[in-house]
Amino acid sequence: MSWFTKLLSTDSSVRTYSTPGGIKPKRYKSASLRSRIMPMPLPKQLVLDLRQYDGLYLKPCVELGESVKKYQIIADPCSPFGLPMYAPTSGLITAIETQLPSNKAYLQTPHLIIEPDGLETELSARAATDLETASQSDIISAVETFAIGGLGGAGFPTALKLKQSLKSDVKTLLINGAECEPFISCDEALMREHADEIVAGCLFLTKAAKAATCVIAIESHKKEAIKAIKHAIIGQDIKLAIVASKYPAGSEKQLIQSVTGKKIPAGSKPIDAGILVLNVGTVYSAYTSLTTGQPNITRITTLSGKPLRTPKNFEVLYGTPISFLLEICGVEKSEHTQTIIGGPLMGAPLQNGNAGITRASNCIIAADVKTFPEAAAELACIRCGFCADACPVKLLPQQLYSFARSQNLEQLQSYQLNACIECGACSYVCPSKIPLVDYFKAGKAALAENAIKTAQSAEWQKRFQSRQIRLKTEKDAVLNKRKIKTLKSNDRVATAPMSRAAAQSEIAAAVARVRKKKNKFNPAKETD
Amino acid sequence: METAIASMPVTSFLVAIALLLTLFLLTLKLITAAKKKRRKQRSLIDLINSTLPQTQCGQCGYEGCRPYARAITQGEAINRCPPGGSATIIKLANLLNEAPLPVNPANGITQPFSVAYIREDECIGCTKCIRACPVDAIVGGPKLMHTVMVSQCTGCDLCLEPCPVDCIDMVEVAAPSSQAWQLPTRIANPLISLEATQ
Repeated sequence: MSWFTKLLSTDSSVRTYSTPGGIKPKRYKSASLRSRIMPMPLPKQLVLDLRQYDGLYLKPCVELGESVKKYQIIADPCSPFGLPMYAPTSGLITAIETQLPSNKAYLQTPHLIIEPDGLETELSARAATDLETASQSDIISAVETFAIGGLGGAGFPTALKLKQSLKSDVKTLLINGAECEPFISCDEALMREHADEIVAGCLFLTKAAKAATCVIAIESHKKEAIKAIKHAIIGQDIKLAIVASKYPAGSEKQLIQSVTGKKIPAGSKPIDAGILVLNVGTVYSAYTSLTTGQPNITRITTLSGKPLRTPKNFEVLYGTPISFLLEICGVEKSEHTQTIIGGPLMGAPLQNGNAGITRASNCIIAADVKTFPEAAAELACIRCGFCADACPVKLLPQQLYSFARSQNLEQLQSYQLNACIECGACSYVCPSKIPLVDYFKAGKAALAENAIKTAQSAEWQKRFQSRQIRLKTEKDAVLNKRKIKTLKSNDRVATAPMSRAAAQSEIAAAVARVRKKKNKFNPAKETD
Repeated sequence: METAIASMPVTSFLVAIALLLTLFLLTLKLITAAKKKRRKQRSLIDLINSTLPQTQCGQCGYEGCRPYARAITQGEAINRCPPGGSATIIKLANLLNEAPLPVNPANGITQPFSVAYIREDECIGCTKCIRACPVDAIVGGPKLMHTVMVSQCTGCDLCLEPCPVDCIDMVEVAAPSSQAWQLPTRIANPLISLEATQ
């Protein structure tokens, strides 16, 4: 009974603040939450995406046809924004090839393919980290070697975040369990089933980041997750923040605003305000990897959508082909129109079913015509202002839309397009069915391109000017030399009007000099 | 009366000094005004110059972008820059309150961005291209191989003509873009419908 009184006495939840904008779309989460998180059988092949967070590619360190063991490093990062890639299972490397990635299908990206042998021969496990005694730097280096990356959607290396947090004074470690986008339920399922591990992970990460407080933020409708976390944090120095359930409550900056009331300006990072944000999935994977001594090779992915007979959350190996996942869930081929990777608002249609799961793949939606009808024809903007009301960053989407259409970069800049978080709330509310967020993505790309061009032409201008200056000094130097020469000869003429005798003697001397020189070069003539 | 007459030269002297002083101040003011005007003119040149693409190609008939910018302030046509194309012309027209014109074909046609590439085993090391390059983007020594620093090349193609062995090619490169998002396809060419600022 003691824990119960404690529960009543301690105020474990923090007050939250309201945030501007946002939408409340239908959630569609219950279907995939009906069962527990399930393991996934081994697929015939694993397609491992070599892309890093910064768009560069990991360098494969295995040969074609090589047999690899489970947990063996198969690709090394080429910049600090990459994480080492571990073989998720034992098997043969059958391809190191270029294939379309699951997201942003227009970019070709290298992949590595492993054909599992089913033996699961493991490389001997690394030493587990004792979280009680481990020092801060030990924890950070372990997080780095165990390839822990953000599982919220971007895959940013967690060790890098922790290192950044050491440089600045972190006050709050904010654990993001908001998961606001429809269909996605992997974090909710994780909190429901592994609350204790998450809380233990929070404790050691708080230590690693030297944070003063730790807050777990959950959307208010996730009743079971709240219950589980509330129970797990009893007696721990962790607070719970229950944020209003609306989209995009789980966006990093919006979550910070609703939990702390602080606004993070566009272009600055939460860490600058002393807040470190980590996803619950990241915390869980960090905890399990460090305690077992095995690198992170799986993530929880939601499989949902009406055409699936058994929508579920699965613990999947990285590289599991999406077509295989859909098959396991019993996809009804006649209903299935397209596959969406990520949520319905921020995700992208999948172009290549053979693409594998990555750190960023939190959800796979099998779409049907009823839930995801064909995009309606775009009508004219009627300036209703619904988009401005929905915008969580208080931008003016209708203005930005006209500027994006006309490619008016100056105005896009001054209307702060770069603060847009691309959440898609504006597109969702638009009665004219204008794909606003697509325009903004294009506008942002144009701004980025323009910034590069401007920097380049400034450089060209600088080089041109310095060359002009160099040419001028060179020319001046030549002219000066000539001037000095003429001055000297003028001087001689002016100052010494020679007498006839003096002139004759000088001529004779000159003739003698020349003769001498001639004789020197032509000694044969001397004998003549 | 006596005293007034006696002080006459003194007063006239004082008046003369005062006159001289005002004259001096006036000239000073005139000089500063002239300077200010020159500075203003200069900033207009800079404004125009920052609108130009800085390829320094000389297709406009001037030595580089800045000389052309100076010429524009003195009444030169704004449609003499093919690398900038219609985008630059529209910007210049907005800036100078003039009517936008199509690029003057006499100056050349707008082409996709490309950089010079020296076929290195054919290069004889004559240094002629190095001297032609307006931004010093070619490196190499006499009788030694030359090469183009791609990141600095403006694509002006001024190095092609002086090369005695024709070993320089212009290679088209993709626009410097990190992302490849395009505007939704239901849009006509946005450049035509460019709206005026404000």
